[in-house]
Formats: sequence, structure tokens, C-alpha cells
Amino acid sequence: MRDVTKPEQSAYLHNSDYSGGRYTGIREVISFMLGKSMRLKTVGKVLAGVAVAYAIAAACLYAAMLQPPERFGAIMSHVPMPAMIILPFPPLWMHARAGTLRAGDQAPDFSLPALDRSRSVRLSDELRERPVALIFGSYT
Amino acid sequence: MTFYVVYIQEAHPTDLWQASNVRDGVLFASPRTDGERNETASACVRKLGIRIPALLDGIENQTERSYTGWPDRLYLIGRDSRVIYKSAPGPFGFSAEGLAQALRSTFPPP
Repeated sequence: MRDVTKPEQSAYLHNSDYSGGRYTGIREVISFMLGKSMRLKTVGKVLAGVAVAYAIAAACLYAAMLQPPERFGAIMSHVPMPAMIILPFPPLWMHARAGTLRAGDQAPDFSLPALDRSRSVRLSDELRERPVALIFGSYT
Repeated sequence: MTFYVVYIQEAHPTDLWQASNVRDGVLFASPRTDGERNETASACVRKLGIRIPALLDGIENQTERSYTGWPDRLYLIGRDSRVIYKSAPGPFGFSAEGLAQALRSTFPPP
């Protein structure tokens, strides 16, 4: 004899309307929460990826700054200008080009020709007379 | 007190990284010889009307490397040959006011 209760039991377990909509609501809530969790994870992964890319780009920029001026200029000629706005250029530059000479250190002596070629200037000779201010720079 | 401009290698020559020099119409290729650097430096001094005596760093950039002067930087050296003031690297750290303060504190007015 056929057990007539089984279809009813099946309907009891799977009929979403049995609990007056409550069963369906729970499932939707769980589904929504899982979806939300997945969305948060995706956003987190994207943000982490952006942060890693930013850190790598900043590290590459700093490595370029440590190169001699010609090499640095050659590298930077291929870098789009927006990157200079996005990346932390000034603080990296200040650190990379800090140099080893500090206040209180012995100033390296030099002898350089005057631009008009009229004479040669030795720093140590000048310092015997008075303090010297040096302004390093170029036209461009 | 003696002031000297030390003319060093170009910051933004046309063969390398271009910046605001394009807007300003200051377009010079990297000098390859002392003579070429002298020509560029002379144009700079003439067009900007610089009256401070200018010295020319050699094409090997020896003085620039000793002082980490590129792209621009300020120093104050005392009579004992010690560095009194060193600015941060330009353009961000190039501060005439910083040098002026160092001068005022080192050599206070009578």
C-alpha cells in the first residue's frame, strides 16, 4: 500500500508557503547576507589591490629618485604627469635627495672656473676671507 | 659674506624629463661638454639678469655630487669650512627664507 504521507511530508519540508512566508523570508535574508558578505569581500580585495599597486608604484618612484640625475630624468620622461599628482612625490624626493652632508660637517673643497672664465675660485681660499653661500641650480 | 651660484647639470633638459620649463619656453638640451654647459649657463645668467658671480661645475658633475646639489639647493658655509646651513633639495626644499634665517641667526645684525 502506498504511503500517502510522504508527498505531504515533502510538501511540509519544501513548500515555501507553509509558514506563511516566513520560511521564504529567512532564506532571502540569508541569501542577502551572503551576497552582502561577498560584495564586501570583493570591495576589500579591490581596495587591497589598489593599496598594493600604489605601494609598488611609490617604491618604483623612490628607486628612480635614487638614480643619478640623468638616469632619473630618463625614467621620468616616460612617467605620465598624473602619476606625479597621485603619488607622494615631495616626501619621497626629500628623502631620496637628502644627501650625506649635514650641518656641522666639513664642506668639501672645490675649485671651479668663473662663468666668465676670468678666474678660478677655490672654496677654501674664499673661506679664509668670509663665509660663503652657495646656490646650486640650472636654467631648466 | 660671499655668494656664488654654482651652475650644475640641467634639471629638465629637452632630451630628458620636461616640466614647467616647456611652459616657460626654457628649452635646452643636456650640455655634453664644458663649453656647451658654459653656453647654457651664460644664457641663463644673461636672460635672468643674475648678478651673483657664477661658477661652472665640470661636465663630470663632481661638485654637484659632493654637495647633492641637483636640481637646486642652498648652502651656507662658515669660515671654519663647516656647513652652517643646508636646504632641503629643490624645488620643494629650495627656500631663500631658510637661508635668510640661517644668515640672521649666524650673523645677527649689530
